[in-house]
Amino acid sequence: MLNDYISKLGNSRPIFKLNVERNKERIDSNLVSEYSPEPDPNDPIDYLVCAHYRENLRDNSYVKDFDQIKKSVLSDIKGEMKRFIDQHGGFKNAKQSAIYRFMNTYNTPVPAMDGLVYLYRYCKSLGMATNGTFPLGVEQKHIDNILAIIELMRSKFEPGT
Amino acid sequence: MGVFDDKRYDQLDWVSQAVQPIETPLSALLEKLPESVRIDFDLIRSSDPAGNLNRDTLVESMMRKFGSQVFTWKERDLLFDCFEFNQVSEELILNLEDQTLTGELYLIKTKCVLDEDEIKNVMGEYGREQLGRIQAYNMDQTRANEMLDLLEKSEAAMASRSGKVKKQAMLNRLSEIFKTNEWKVKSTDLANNISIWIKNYIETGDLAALSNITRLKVMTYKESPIYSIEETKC
Repeated sequence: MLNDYISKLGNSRPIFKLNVERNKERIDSNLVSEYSPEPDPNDPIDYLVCAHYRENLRDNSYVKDFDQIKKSVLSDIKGEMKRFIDQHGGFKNAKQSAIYRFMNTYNTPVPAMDGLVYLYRYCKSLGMATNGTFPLGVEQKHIDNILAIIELMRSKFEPGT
Repeated sequence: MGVFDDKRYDQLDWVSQAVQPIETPLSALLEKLPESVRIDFDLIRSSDPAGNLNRDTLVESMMRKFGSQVFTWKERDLLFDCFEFNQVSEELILNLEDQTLTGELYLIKTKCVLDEDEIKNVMGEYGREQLGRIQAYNMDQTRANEMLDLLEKSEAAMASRSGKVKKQAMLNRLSEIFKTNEWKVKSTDLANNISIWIKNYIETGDLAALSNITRLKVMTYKESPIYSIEETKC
């Protein structure tokens, strides 16, 4: 799913302006037309993808760094979900809970990754802030629903379960 | 010809004998390096994919092309400082799509001769680096003291029982000798050899090395410049 978002984005053109720097000892290059993606304000996933947009120069052209963008986006999503669990999980020590530790898993399988993205979008549609709270308020049934989905994902995708 | 004669000095023309320039392979190499190199697309791309270019890297690759001798960082820095980039065009544009560099850029030689004072600062640097690698903790103290005696002005280090102190005293003393031109050594190769002979003698008791360093020491009493000695090979 994240791949679709990333594929839609463009690339910088590999044209550089060169400048002689530091007592004529170095030549530094500056990209003339750097690509900066503009996110869709109504799509929280697009916002994250654009915020973490990264490209590498390979064989005279820029290519999008899919892996790094996905890692960064997922890390942000997991961070917000962990704060949600902390706020609404009802645990005495949320960090010790199984669903919180599931969010700490480094190698998330692709289906779980997609699931997290959908869940994050659902949370955002309910008005979740980056600190995991809902400033405009939210019904308890939605919170219960989110926690249930995380628990379901954990039981399905956590290694050794 | 006696064993204390300097054959290289005798071969010099009268002008060189009067001026007594320091002989160094750095000067010879500097002469060989091109006066100006046009920087083109391929040269930039071979250095860095995004067009960043460093003068030192470029000069170093030219040094490898024109000479095979090993130099220390300080020695190489001397050569690097003889070059600079010269941007002829107002704007330089590197286009990787079309694989072109628009504008003119050169690396030019700004100095054709190395300054004697600068050479003195790096004289014997390679040899000192080699001597610095000697293992101080199990150094033969008697042989180290013999060398310190030859180098003079090292009584405190001779009295010390620490190999580290002796090694550092030798390195400091050699540096001082070359900087102040105390022994009138006028060849960087010979200056390097002095430290290497000292290292060899201390480490292995190499008598050829001892013979060389003592012969050179005797020649210093003649108060004339030393370009070479009749070296005894091991």
